Amino acid sequence: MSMLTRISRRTYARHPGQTILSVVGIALGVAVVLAIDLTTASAERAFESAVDSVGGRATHEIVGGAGEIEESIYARLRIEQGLRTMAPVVRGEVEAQVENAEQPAGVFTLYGIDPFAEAPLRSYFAFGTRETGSEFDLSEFLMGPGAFAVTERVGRRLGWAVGDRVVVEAQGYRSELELVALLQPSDPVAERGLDRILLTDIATAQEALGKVGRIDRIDVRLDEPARVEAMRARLPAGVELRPLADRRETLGELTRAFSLNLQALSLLTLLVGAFLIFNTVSFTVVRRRRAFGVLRALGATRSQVFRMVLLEAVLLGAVGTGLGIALGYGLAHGLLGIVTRTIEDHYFTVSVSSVPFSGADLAFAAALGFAVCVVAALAPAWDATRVPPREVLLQTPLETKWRRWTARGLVLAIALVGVGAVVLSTSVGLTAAYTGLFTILFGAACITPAVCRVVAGAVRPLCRVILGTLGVHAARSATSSLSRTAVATAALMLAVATTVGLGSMISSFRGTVDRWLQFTLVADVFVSPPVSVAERFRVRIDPEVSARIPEVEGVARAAAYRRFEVAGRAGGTDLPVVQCVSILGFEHVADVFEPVQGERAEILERALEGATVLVSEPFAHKHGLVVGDRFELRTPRGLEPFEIGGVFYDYASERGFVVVPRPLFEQHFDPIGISAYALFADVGVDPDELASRVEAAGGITQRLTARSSRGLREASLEVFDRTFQVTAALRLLCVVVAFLGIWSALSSLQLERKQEVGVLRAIGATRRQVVTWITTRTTILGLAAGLFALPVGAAVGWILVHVINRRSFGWSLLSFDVPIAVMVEALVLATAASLLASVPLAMRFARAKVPEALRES
Amino acid sequence: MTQSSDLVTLEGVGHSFREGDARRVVLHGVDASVARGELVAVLGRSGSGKSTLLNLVGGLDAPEEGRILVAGQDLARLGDTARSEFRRRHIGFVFQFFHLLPTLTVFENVLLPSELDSRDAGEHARELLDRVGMSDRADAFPDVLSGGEQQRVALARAIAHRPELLLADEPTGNLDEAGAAVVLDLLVELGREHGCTVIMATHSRDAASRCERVVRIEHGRLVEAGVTVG
Amino acid sequence: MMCSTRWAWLGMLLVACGDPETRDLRQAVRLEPREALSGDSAAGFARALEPRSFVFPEDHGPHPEFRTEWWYVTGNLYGSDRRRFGYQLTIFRNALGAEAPKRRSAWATRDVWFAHFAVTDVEGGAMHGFERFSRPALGLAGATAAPFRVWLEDWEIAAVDTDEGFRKLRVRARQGDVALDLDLRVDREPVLQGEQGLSRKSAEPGNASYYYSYPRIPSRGTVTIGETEVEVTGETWLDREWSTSALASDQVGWDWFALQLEDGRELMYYQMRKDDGTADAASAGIVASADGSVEHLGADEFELDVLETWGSPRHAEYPSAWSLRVPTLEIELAVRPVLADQEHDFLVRYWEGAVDVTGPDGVRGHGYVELTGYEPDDAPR
Repeated sequence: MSMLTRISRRTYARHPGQTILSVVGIALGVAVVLAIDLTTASAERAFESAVDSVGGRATHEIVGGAGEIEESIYARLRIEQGLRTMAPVVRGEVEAQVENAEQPAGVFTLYGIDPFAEAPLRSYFAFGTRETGSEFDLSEFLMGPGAFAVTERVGRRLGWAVGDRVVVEAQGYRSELELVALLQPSDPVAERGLDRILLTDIATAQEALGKVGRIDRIDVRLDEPARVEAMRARLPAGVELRPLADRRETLGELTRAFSLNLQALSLLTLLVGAFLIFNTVSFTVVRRRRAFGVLRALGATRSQVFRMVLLEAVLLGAVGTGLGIALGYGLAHGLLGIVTRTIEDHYFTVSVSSVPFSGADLAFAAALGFAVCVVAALAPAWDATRVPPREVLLQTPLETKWRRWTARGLVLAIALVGVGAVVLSTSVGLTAAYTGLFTILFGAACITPAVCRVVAGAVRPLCRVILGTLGVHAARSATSSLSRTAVATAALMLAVATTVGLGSMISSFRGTVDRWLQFTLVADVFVSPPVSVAERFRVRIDPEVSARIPEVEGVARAAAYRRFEVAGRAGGTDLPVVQCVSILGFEHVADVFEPVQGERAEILERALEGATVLVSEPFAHKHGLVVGDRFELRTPRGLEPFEIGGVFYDYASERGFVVVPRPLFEQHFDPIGISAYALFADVGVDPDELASRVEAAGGITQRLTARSSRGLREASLEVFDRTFQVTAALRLLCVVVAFLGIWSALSSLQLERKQEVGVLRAIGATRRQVVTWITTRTTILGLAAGLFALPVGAAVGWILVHVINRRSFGWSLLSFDVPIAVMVEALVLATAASLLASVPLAMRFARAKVPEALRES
Repeated sequence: MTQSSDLVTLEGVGHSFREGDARRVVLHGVDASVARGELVAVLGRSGSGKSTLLNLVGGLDAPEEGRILVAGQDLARLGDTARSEFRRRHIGFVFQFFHLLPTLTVFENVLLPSELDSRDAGEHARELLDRVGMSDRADAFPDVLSGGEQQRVALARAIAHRPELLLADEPTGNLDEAGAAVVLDLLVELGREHGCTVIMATHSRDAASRCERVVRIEHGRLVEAGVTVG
Repeated sequence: MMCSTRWAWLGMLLVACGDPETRDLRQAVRLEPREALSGDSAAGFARALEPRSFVFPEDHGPHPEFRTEWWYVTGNLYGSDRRRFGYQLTIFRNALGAEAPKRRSAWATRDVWFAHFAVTDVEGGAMHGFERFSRPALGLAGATAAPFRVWLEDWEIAAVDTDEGFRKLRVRARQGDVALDLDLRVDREPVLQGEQGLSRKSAEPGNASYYYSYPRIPSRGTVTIGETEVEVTGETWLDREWSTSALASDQVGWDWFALQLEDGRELMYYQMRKDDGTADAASAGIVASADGSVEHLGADEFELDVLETWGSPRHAEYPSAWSLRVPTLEIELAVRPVLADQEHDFLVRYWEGAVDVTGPDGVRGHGYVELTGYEPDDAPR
């Protein structure tokens, strides 16, 4: 095999540009897949490690019916039932800022714990060690109002020192804290999990978070399964014991669709990269047909030839994958900010400061990169074995075959598209949806050569008019070597179609959300304590402040929102967190609830009577519920069934939520505070002025954020735009890979077309004419790719919106459109990409020495 | 352009190629001239520098030493564009492997050189195709033609723009006997009809015998092998 | 009880259980008011400067104006088959500051409560010891005078009913599969230690506590270890003590003896050990008689000799047999632990356990001994 290896090596060494491009192509593909994988995974892992660190050795947690627990329940469990391996937790998000600092230090989770109960659960609280001699003054921690601790790592990161005073704001309550200790957890994982945590005594946390008298949960360690049931049996009604694993699962469930979608997009980039590899390998095979013929004549077996070509691909893949992994880590750092921001906007607060090394993700990306390379090389490798011994004809046979193939390929491609469409329309799952989408895309890619032919034929007359015979030559030669150009063009088409698809999806979403906001934001002013999305259902307005708000001058009517989270059950599955809202003054805001189907007046009437609840479309979708179905919520009196009276449009919450009408709420739940108000202004009152008056109602007790509906709409759209930043970034990467593809294809053409250049030059073509010829040719390809990408992209967009989005998030969009700007952008992108990629190569062509070019054969 | 009797003059021309780390000298101190209308055969073994000589004369390459004047013009001193323009006005090429552009029809191939010079030469192209006996295949693509036919088209293409100098590099080297005879006849005839100076590189004695003058390349030098009139 | 002072003053360690993972960290995580021994730290607290008149039942309850106090019961118990047990339940209150915080959260506290519970099972050859920490919030820990009750979660010493007051107490504690439930019949008046209840711990004024004891309380109830519940009877020694500061800087620990003799006498002796190995002059004790008379004795009236030592697997070397003599009263006793390993592997390690007493004149007895300050500074945790 060593002689064959030598052939391989020299072949690639002789075309370094080509080799480098395909390596870079696969590297980019792998990098994107790995980066997306790493970022979503590290966000999830950061959250999990935070869950684990704050959970410590806890195996279970006790949570309350409407999210919080009366603190006396804890004391009862501990004293009367002698449950000792448990510890209370009061937690909440705070925005922290060092006193007199200009910039806030960021959002943290403030954890209030009882140090005396911690030992069975959390070793990290055992801060300081005998060896380092670091000591922790418990009297300060307990006595100093506002005393808190962070890990030494956090202290280093933020430059905080013991004695620093930090102002925190939680749900509008401002408090001043003082750093009294820097913790040194011995376990580095636990330490990372504490990266965004301010640790205080439970009393301090209750005060800072406005939760005096209540705790959020009780962490429990139950090592023997038998004790779990025993304990469950002894729990008072209204609280629930559940495995801590649920909390992690909830998280996975939350971000599953989000991660999967990002992953699919990244796979698309890899697919484009695969085309590059395919391109390179087939190129080298074509180039060496004579050599393979001779090898076969000399006695090489088919399998030897096959192995040789495959080995080449594997080596290319290895280098590309290796490079991709390095690149992926870099890219992951770049994407991390955007991805975490999106996760924070929609799901939970998380601190991801670094991308941890992950063997599993790495192995996944590497395996994928390899697999793609091998699969991409299979066809060319097979092709190489088909070369008859002493093959001397150079290109024509393959080219003819290719032409024949395009005829058959067209049938196959159309069949593929059909199969994809069938998969899409008959399946239910998200994976199936992506399989369908990818099948359609692959089919479309196979149609690309035919489209190129059509487009080249269509523009030929035009070329003749403008450039004469040279133009005709350009138009014809654009499709004369499709064995090479088709793959690159298909890759470009895929990339551009993806941008069109994503563009139209984003635009359709934005259009829908904008329209929806218009009928949703019926009130003039919305007020609530400033709070992150993750905390929206836990926030409460201080009772005194709350009482003042409807009385503010200029308020005509008010609807008060009580938001809460409870556990539930739907369709036999436990739902650890169901977000609910009950509205006082529902009639004022009833217009907001636009039913997906059914008679609105009727639905609302039944809800107002207290017969049924309303659920948002994503909620119904996620749990497979329809109007008339029942599901259960955990009330203080245990699990109780609720009937769905209507499903309404909502684009604000991906998790979906339940509207519990006031009569039902009062019947089943204990009173809780108000989370937010929607206010209607008196005639002639300016909403923005009213907003500032309402904010003032918070006084020094609690800061409030009041927004006019205009302000809220802008803010909502801002979050929306941020959400799609990742998509936009991926879109860009896809284009980069496609650009490389075009470039790679052109460099293969350079060699093949050199002779023609020589002839042209010999018969008197100037360099400029050669450049014109080449760029025209590639621009035609680009144009073909761009034009074909429009319908394909529109189809992708449609599938993303109506199939994938629905299956992932359950949103049905009110409109679907492919914006003109996106289409123009796509055409410009495709043609510009080919033009840009071809110019430097064309220049090199033109400068090539004519005699040498002529000798090429 | 000066109207001296010599169309091509070589003065101390030397040229070499890189072969690995070494350089192989193919031409060395060549002095020669070709008169207008002359039909010259260049003989030599393969690799002796025949093609190099034609390339240098045709301005496809510049000599490392000495200079070459074509119609009084030192091509090496022209810019690339000017050289290209000079070429497409004054020089025609015929290659051993025909080198027709596969994506152009026979007619388009013949038309291309004039077109490149923005001249409408459709009529002339048709006449030429007629002259080489290919007018019935004008719309065919090269890949369906036989070698002899392709070379006839290539010949038509080479003189379509009425060049003063026709450079033919082994024009019959890739043809069977019959095809070669036809092409050789056409080459000689067309050269005469158009008043072309023809320089033909060949290793065929037969072909050389049709030329007025035969030179050989031996060890990088040009040696007159006598004048024959066929 | 003298022994407690060190906990109170020098630090209570926070992380409670003997979990090996946290062991190396426990020492460092201490509740240690800054400059605990200096006069400044006592600012805001009352001091034990001169004798006071005790008022009951109020004085059975908490004294928040002092920094620290404890309720301490130890005893020797016998099953129907003379199966032998020792027990200890101590509940401590320790203030982190003089001022009670004015805060909205019920969890906010200035007091930390902690408790030690141990049962020595002589036949089983093991001592089971536990410690707990809590705060006086939500009823998790606390003390009341009337009705008398002091508790930390479900460990408590409490009056059985209001009418009987301090006469009838119930001691209850349970952790894991070890439990104790005893009825105590307090049939005597308390013995005031030191100078009418003012017990000086060093030469410096104020380094003293208010201290009284019930040296012999008949006790009856059950001890549960694992699946086995044993009916027991026996005798309890109850100590009550509160103070703000006590130790002098040159004192490293103490040996404390509380012995109940079959002839009806009780003997208590604490010997403060100085860093040079000698006994502090402030060491003292009593001998009480069945008729209620009490002899207060100074350090020079006791003679204590260590006869044997025992090496703890946890690196301390404790005395394990003594000869204790009071020549003026012709008392000569040999004191021996019922079990060598009654070391408490708590946040602060010490030895406290049941002992047997024998005299040359055939007098027998039992009691409790506490040994502190034997752990070398560099002992691994």
